[in-house]
Amino acid sequence: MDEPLARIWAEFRENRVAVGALVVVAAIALIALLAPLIAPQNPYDLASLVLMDARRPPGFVGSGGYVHILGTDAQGRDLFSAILYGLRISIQIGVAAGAVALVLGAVLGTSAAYFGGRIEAFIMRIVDLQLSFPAILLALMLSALLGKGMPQLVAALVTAQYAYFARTAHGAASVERSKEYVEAALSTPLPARTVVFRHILPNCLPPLIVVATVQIANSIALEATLSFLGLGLPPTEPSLGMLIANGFQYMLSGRYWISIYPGIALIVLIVAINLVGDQVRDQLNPRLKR
Amino acid sequence: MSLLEVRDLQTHFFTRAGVVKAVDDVSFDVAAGEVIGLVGESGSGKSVTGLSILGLVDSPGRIVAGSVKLAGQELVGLAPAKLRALRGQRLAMVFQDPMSVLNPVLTIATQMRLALEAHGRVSNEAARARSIDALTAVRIPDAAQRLDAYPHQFSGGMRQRVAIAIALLHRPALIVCDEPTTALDVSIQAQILTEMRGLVRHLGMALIWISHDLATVSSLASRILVMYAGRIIEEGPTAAVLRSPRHPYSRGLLQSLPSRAEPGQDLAQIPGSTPSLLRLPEGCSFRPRCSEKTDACLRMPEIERHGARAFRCHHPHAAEVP
Repeated sequence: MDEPLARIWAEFRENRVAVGALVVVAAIALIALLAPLIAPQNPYDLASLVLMDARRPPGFVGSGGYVHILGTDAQGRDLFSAILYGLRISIQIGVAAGAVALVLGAVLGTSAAYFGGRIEAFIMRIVDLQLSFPAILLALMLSALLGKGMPQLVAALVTAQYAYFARTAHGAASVERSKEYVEAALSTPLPARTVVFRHILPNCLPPLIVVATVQIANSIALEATLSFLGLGLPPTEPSLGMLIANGFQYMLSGRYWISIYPGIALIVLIVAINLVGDQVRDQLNPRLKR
Repeated sequence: MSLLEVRDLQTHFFTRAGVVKAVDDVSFDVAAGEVIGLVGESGSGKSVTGLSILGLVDSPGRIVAGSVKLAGQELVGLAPAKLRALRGQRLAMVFQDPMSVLNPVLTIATQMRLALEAHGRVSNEAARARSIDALTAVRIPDAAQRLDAYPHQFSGGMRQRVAIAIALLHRPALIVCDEPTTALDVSIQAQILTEMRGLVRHLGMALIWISHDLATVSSLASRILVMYAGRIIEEGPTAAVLRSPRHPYSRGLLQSLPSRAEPGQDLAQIPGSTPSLLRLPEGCSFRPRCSEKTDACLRMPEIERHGARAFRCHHPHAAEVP
């Protein structure tokens, strides 16, 4: 009777790629968390930017007296610092949007399965309706409507993504709802919320965790897309998407670094999260159990 | 007064194809501390009778008439909230499949605590102590340790014991067991039967044991009710019914027990199969399969009572000569 967590880790460890990806995710998260300590410059402090240093190639020693190892952008920002802060924003937004969408979707999906009838039909048809729109379109419309800023961006991402969680939670909860232990619990005076949260929800967690890993990566990509299109955060606080967009116009004039390095950082983060998510999915899928 | 009085109970299912009279005119009593065996083939209405007592009949089914009284309190038509308050506390049910009655992701301790909390506040220590008591009562070894295990760490027989322990938590006056040993090995069945017998004697609760298996029922129940097509067709003390069944169907059931056959001899069968409850034959439901049938059987026989025994047949087998 070993601990479930230890068992999960033992199985996870067998996949070297996934372990490597997990290390990368953890490293990026750590760097992002410690960005203010590591970064040579605060890229959000507009006063510290020197326009003379703008669009310098990697290795350039700027007026600050330190090496810009990844070069500078069009405003003279140290790209390395900007990427660290950008990753910070990406992870914050990805995790926040993923977590809120998970909670909202899980509550909606399990309630739909629990209540059944008209409430279920109502909730699930809205979810279906929303799933028939591309998430990017919804997020675009909402961020245009809500304006710029972190909470607005998270709200837009949650609205675009909760439907996946609701669908998954509803499917899993419907199966549990018809099990005898749920019927038995409901036949006693145990309050309905206790039955939903203690009996039904824990059984829906494995598929929800899988969707969550995928959706965190998706919201990071979606946020980058919105920022690239100029709809994310204010330009004074550039996220990775905006850095890529800003450098885009200089690509053909040979100043590749402004777009390329933030792009690489974004790709590495998303691919690593997806690799971890794939392994988690394989482990939690009972049909693939060896 | 009996603990449980079931009178003229009728539970019908209103399906698209027509009305299914799953329980039709069923009456019986259960005294405190008594074990009743409810026997019949699949579709005879025995499970629905059990569910009707607890008020657990789901749509499209409904109790259309009759009364179920627990210690004088009428249960038919009782408000759902009041019925819920009784379930688990005064009335409990154990189901056939021990796999699906336990939540796979919660420890036994959590599930038992939830069952206790359903009927009022209880401290963690008290919940644990009562859970350990209940598990010990059904002879789960190392109950204190096993309490923190998950259902998948138990064998089928152990899981059914846990289900019975959960039913015992509130010391209910009546437990309805719906084929609780059918999914288990014969040797485990025997163990659980022995333990149930001890528990009933020890705790003084009444037990309705629903089964298609006369052999398990006869070793446990003091009285047997035989159901066929939604009606009770024979009732009496276990020993008497087994020795001299009055209804041709009960006799057929007894003769088809493998233990009664001689080696090398074919098992006796009741010809035909249970009629569809949607298209019951006119008169006695058993008529098409019965070897004793006459024109009188075109009329549904009334239940005849002779002392402790009762049967519903125009041509009963001779009573035992004392």
